[in-house]
Amino acid sequence: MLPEERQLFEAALQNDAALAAALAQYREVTATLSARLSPDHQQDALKETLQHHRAIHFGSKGKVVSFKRYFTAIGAVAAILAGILLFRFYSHDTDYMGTYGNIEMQVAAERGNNADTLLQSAALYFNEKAYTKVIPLLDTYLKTDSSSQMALYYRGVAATHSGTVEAGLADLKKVYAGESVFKYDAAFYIALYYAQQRNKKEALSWLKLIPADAAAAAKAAALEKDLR
Amino acid sequence: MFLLPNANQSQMSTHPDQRYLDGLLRNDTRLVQEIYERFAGKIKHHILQHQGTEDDAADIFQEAIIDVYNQAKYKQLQLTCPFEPFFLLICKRKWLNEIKKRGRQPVTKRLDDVYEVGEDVFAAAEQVLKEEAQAGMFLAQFERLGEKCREILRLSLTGEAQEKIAVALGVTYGYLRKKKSECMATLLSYIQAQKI
Repeated sequence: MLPEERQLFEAALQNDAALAAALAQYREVTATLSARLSPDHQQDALKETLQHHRAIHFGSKGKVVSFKRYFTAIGAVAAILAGILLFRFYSHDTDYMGTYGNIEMQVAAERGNNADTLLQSAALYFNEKAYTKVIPLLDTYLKTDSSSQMALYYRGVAATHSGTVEAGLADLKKVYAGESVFKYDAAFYIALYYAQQRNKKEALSWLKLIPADAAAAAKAAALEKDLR
Repeated sequence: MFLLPNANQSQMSTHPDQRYLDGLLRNDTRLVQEIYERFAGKIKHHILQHQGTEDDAADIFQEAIIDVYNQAKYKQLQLTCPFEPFFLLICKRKWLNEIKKRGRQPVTKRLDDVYEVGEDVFAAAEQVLKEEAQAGMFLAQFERLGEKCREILRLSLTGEAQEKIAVALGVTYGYLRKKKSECMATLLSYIQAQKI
């Protein structure tokens, strides 16, 4: 706009309330959409953290069951637990991965964009333990957001299950080196991997890195107890 | 009371609980953990008492955190009241809106039944909800546009140079400017219609 045109426009704004309101709305809309349509990796990372805590603090709602069914269920669970304990006692069970390695991939997807679809597909395969299908999806996702600690963590876990162990451990170590909510989960999983390989020394050294207030602390303490 | 950038910030001091907002902006995992530990149980209890489920509570809690994050990031929200009543009120108001949206009759009980909230807390929470509802409405109307319009506006609004956009879309610079102007006019008309 030329200076003369600008002056005329500003004068018109002073005298025309409707024009001023329309301009204010235009500015509000463009400012809001500029911000909200731009990729926000900080927000993506925060959503990963929230999703992690959601699983901890908001479990699925308990169903109401009759007392008879309740006690039957408790009896069944107790019998299964006793069976597991007896089996482990007599077999000196060292299937640490089977005991502690059941990890579910959870994703928070709101906008339904391509990146979210990739994560959702990866989660479906991950939770079906189709790990070889997970890795290319997370590779693609990480090309769009290389800072996603969630994607690195799950790719690391998937890789340790699909023959590319070194790459998997490298991903997990990167996650541990960062400051995300997956930091100590990554340390735990590395420890678990070494425990499964019967590398007790290495497993214990990773377990020691997990502080008592971390979400993975209880699992870490249990695994340490099993190893000793 | 809370401050927006154009407010007279010198008259109000930032509350120490601003650390929560700063922590969300940094994705400080320990601070997020603290927020969940301190407030998740309260919101779960409230929503379960008011026709909701645990999943509803988890959704509302998560959305409220993102709302606060958005306001801190895009509107430079500065907290000058305690975080707890402010955050809990946002969650409760969001749940009340959700109940209404689902066509249920909200329980006629005061929302601040657990916390006596001051006017400043109330105003701050209301402002966050209003701003976020407006941003949500803008985005919803944006999604109603045709694919071409969305592409042109998305690229234009997120800072791409006009010349580059024209090349990327395989159109002339003149056509792009005309089309962008038409798309924006359509979007503004959709938004205006929502306000009537």
